[in-house]
Amino acid sequence: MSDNNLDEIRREWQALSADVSKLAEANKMLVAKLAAEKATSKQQILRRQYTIFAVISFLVLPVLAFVALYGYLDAPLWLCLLYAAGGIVFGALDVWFVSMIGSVDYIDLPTSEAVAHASRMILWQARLRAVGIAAAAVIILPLLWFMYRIDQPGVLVGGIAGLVIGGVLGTLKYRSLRRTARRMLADLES
Amino acid sequence: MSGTRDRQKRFEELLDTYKSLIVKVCYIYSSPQATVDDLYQEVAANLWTGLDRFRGDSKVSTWIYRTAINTCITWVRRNKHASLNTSLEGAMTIADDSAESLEREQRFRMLHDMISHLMPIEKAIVTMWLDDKPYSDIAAVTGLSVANVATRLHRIKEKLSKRAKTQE
Repeated sequence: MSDNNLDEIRREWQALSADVSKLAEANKMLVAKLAAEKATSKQQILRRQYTIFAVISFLVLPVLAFVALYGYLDAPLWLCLLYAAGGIVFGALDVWFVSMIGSVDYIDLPTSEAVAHASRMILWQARLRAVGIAAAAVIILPLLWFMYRIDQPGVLVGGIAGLVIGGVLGTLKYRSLRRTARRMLADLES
Repeated sequence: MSGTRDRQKRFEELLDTYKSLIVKVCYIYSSPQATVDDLYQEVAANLWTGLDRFRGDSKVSTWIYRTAINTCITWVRRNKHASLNTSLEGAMTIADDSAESLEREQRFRMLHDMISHLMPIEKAIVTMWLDDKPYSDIAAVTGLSVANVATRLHRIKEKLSKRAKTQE
């Protein structure tokens, strides 16, 4: 495609205007939704998501550790404390990530800064995922050993399968996120 | 209550005035994972949130470009239940179905396919260049220098030409 072709497309692009009727209808519906606060931005959704993860980690894992493991299955105290500590660590990481998401309103930034911020967010999401996988292995392996000791082989097999599959999928996702973020940052620096 | 209604009215007028600009940006950044509808709603949500913060220290069109482009760059798939019922995919089609307009539509799809391989910041530059915005406006939105915009635009055109040749 020569420069002349590009310039011609550009002229036609400028002459193009969106179909009015479809947009008028969509805009009215959209404005009503926004005014009723039924539509929120991606940043708010992401913050909400990670806040929920944090609450689950802070509350559910320690409660599970002491009620189910210690109270019901009579697991050793050190294992329950490890499980509870894992929940607190995951929760703290999620809280930190929520504060990072909200630290800057990237919509107001110049685009190059918004891309840089978005890339850093993706990198940090990838790192959190990697830390989560490693921490989960540290916590889950002793748990599975315990399940084996109390003669629950089905749980052991399922747990190992879940750990392997989750680990592989999580690692692939981590590498994909990291690749995307690094490409975006490299492009900005070029 | 009247404050909300005024705000709603102001926002409706804003969307109406700049609808073509917003749809075009969403079209440039659209993909199978991010449809024009999804992006348009996300852009509108961010414009609504930012409406009171806009102090007029830049042109309205600059603010809208920046919000739309930044939103598209950082978009993530939303909950399906939150999407619009009206599809905007057809909003980019040309009204008549003459042979000439079908050919033009084909050229736009080819352009979209070529642009889809550009990096996010390059798409931002090309989006505004297609709308004949001066380099100073592109620099104001992207945060790059005017010289950097010119250099990148030259590289982008070379990339597009190279890609077009491999497609032929």
